[in-house]
Amino acid sequence: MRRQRATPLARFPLALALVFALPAAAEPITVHDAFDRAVTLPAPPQRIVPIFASNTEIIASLGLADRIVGIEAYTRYPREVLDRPLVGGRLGFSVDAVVGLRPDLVVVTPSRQAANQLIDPMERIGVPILVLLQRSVPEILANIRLMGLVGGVPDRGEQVVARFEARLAAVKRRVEGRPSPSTIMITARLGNGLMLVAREGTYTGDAMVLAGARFALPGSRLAQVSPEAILNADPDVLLWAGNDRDLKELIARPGWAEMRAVQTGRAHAVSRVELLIPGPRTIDGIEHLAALFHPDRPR
Amino acid sequence: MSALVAENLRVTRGKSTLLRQISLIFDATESVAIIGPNGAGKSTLLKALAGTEAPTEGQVRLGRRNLANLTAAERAQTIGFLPQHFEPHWDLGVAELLEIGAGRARNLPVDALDRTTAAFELGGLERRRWSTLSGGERARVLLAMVLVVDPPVLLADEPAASLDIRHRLDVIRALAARGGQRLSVVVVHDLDLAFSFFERVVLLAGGELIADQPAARLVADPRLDEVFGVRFERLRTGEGWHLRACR
Amino acid sequence: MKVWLGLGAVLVLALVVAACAGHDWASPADLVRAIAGDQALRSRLLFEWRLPRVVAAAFVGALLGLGGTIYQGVFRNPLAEPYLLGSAGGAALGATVALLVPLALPQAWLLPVLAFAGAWGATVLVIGISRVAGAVDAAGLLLAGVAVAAILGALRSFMMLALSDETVSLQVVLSWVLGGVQTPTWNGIGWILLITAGCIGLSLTLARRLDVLGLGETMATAFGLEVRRFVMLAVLAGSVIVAAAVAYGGLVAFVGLASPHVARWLVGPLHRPLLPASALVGAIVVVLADAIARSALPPAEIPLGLVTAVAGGPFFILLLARRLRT
Repeated sequence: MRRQRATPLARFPLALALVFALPAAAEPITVHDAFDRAVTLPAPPQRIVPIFASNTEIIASLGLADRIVGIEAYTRYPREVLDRPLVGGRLGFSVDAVVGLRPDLVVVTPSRQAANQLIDPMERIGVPILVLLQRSVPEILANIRLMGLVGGVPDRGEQVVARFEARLAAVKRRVEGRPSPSTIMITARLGNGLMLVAREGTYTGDAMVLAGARFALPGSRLAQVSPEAILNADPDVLLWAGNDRDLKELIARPGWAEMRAVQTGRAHAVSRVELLIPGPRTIDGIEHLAALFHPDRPR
Repeated sequence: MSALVAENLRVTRGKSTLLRQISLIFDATESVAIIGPNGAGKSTLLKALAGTEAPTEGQVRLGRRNLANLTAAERAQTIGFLPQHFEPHWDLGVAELLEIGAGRARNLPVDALDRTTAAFELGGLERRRWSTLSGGERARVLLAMVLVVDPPVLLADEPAASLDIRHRLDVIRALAARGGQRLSVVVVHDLDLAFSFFERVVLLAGGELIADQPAARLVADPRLDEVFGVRFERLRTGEGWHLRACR
Repeated sequence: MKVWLGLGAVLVLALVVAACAGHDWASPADLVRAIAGDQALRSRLLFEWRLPRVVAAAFVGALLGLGGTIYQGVFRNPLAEPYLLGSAGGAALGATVALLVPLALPQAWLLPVLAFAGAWGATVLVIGISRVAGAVDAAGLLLAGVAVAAILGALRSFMMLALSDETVSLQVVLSWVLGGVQTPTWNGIGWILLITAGCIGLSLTLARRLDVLGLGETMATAFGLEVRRFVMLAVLAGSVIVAAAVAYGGLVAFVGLASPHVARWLVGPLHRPLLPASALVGAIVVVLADAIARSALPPAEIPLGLVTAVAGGPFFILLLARRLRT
C-alpha cells in the first residue's frame, strides 16, 4: 500500500465530504491472511475477538481496543481490555464462547490449538476469521498494516507502522558498522534440562539481529538446545528472557559462572513481554536490546 | 469302502515321537475303543484322525479323500469330535450352545434340535448358562452339541474322570451304541467299559499300535497285561467284562 | 426386545442432552429452531457445529464398540481392546504426519485419511511380523503388537520434536492423541453413516464364527472353522473398524473395552445380538462423554479421551468386583 499524504481538507469541500463519507460507505473488504485464505468482511468489524496477546496488542495499537469484545487468558495488556470475557486459555479455546460474543471478526495465530480449533468452525458458522503469522519483524509490521486495513482505519495503520519503521531506522543507524556481539538468548528452560533459544527464522531471532547481534549458535531444526552447546559457544552476550532472580540463579551454576559473558558482566535479563509477544512492544524490545549490545552512543 | 483310514501315521513334536507307523482301517459302522496306558498317544491319534492336527508323515483318508486336502468346514460335515476337556470361553446358554452346534450342518432336519434335546434330557436346562451346570449336565450338553448334526463319524476322547459313575456309564454306553449305525471311535480309560460295550478294541502303547482286534478276542490277550504292567484277572459279568488288576 | 427399545431410547435422549450441552446450554426449543433453518448466529452454531459433532460422536462410539467386541471375541480375553495390535500407535503417527508435516493437501481430509492408514497399516505390519515369525496366534500377535507400538511411538515422538515450531505446536498433536471428535460437515456425516453401516454389516458376517471361536481353538476347528485364517480376517476387519473410529475421534480410551462388557450384561454373549448392542452402548457413552467434555470446564474443552479414561477407572473396579464375587 502506498503512503498517502493527508489531504488539505479545508480547501476541498468535496474531498472533505468524501473523506467523511468513505468510512460510512461500508464497502466489503477482502484480504489474504497468512494462510493465503481470502477473508471477506462486509464492513469494518465492530466486535473483534483477538486470540493471543500479540493480536490484542496490535489491535489496541491501532486505537481499536474498544471494539474488542472478548480476550483469552494469555492477554495481559493493555489494561483496558482485561475485563472482557474470556474465550479460552491453557486448555484450549471454546467455539461456543467465541460465538456467544457475536463477533464479526476473529483474529488468530496458529499457536497451541487456536487455529485448529477455531478456523473450521468459524468458517462454517460464517464468522470471518483472520490468521496471522509473525516469523520476522517486517511480518509483524505487515500484520499491523493488515489489521489497519481490515479494521477500516488504513491511514492509522500506516501511521503506526511509519513510526515504528522510523524507530527501527534509528536503531539501525546506531548499530551500523559496529561489531555484532555473538549472542544467545535463552527463552525457556525445559524440565529435562534442555533450553529453548531464540533462533533464526523467528521474530525473536530477527529482533536480536536488528538490534545488532549475531547468533552464537548455528541454526538447527530442533528448538531444544543442550546447556553444553551454550557453554561451548561461549557467546559475547548471554540473554535470559525472564526475571533477574532466575538469571542470577542460572549463571551462578558451575560452568556458567566461567562464561565470558558472565565474567565481563554481559549477562542480562530481558523482557519477555517485549521479545516474546510479536506485537508493537517488540519495537521497544529491539531498542532496549540495542542499548544493551552497544551501551555507548555512536559519535 | 471304509469310512476312515489311517496310513502310516507318524506324529513328532520337537524331538519326541508321539505316534509311529500307525495304520488303521475303520468301517462305516462300528464301535471302536482305543485303550492304552498314559502317554500312549491316544489323544494324539484321535486328533490326527479328526484332522485338527496334521501328522508329520502319513495320511488320513476320509472315504476316498485325503483329510489334509479338505477344508475344516468339509471335515466338520462328516466328523464329530468330542474333546476330553471343553470349556467355552463365554458363558453361553444351553440353547445357544446347541444352536452353535447345529449351525455347522448344511441341511439339518427341522426337528433335529428338539430330538437331540429330548435324547439327552436337556429339556429343563435350555435357559441355563454353562457356568451353572453340573459336570454331568455339561457332558450331556457337549454330547448334544456334537451329535445334533448326527455326524457319520464320531471321534471321542472320554470325558475326564471327574464325571460321576452313573454319567460316565451313560455317556460311554451312548457313544458305543452309535456304532450300530455310524462309526464311533472312542478313547476309553476304563477297561471294563471298553471291553463291555465296544465291538473292537485298539491297544496303543508308547506311540505304537500293539493290537487291533474284536473285543472278545483281545480281552484274553496277554499283551494287555504286558502293556499295562499288571496281571489282569478277567471276570465275565452279566453285562460285559470286569478286569481286575493285580501285581 | 425391551432391551433394544430401551437402548434406542437412551441413545436418543443422550443425543438431545448432548446437543443442548456446551459452554452455553441450549434448550430443546433452540435445537428445533436451528434444525428448522433459523439463520441467527446461535442457531448456525448449533446446526453447523454442535449437531454434526454430536452425531459424529455417536458414530465414533458405535465403531469403537464394534471393534472392541470383535477384538474381545478373537482374543477371547475380556481385557482386549481396540488399540491392541498397534493401531493406536499407527493412527497417532498418521495423525502426527497430517498435523505437522506441511503437505499440499487440505488437512481436513488428510487427517482422517492418514489416521486411518496409520491404524490399519500398523495392524497389517503386526500380522506380517507374526506370520514371518510363524506365530499367528493370539500370543504371537500380541507380542508383535507391543513391539510395533513401541517403534511407532518412538517415531512419533521424534517427529513431534523435530517438526513442531511456532506455527504448529505440540499441543495440537497431543490434543488429537488425547481424543476428540472431529466435526465433519453434513456431507461428511453422510460418509460416516455409510461407513458405520458397512462396518456393522461386516461385523455381523463374523458373528457366528466368533461364537464358534469362543468354544476354544480345537473345538472351533472341529466345528469347521479355519482358525488361523479366521483370526487374521477378524483382526483385519476389527482394525478397519477401529481405524475408522480413530480417524474421526482420535484415541478415545476405554469405550472399546467397556462397551462389549456392558452389552454382554444386557443381551448375553452371542455375537449376533452382541455386536449391535455394543455399538449402541458405545454410541451412548461417547455422546455423553463428549457432552461432558464440552460443558464441564467452560470455556475450555476437556479432551474426550480424558473424560472416558476418568470414567473408565471406576468401571474397571466394578468389573473386578463382579469377577471376584462370581
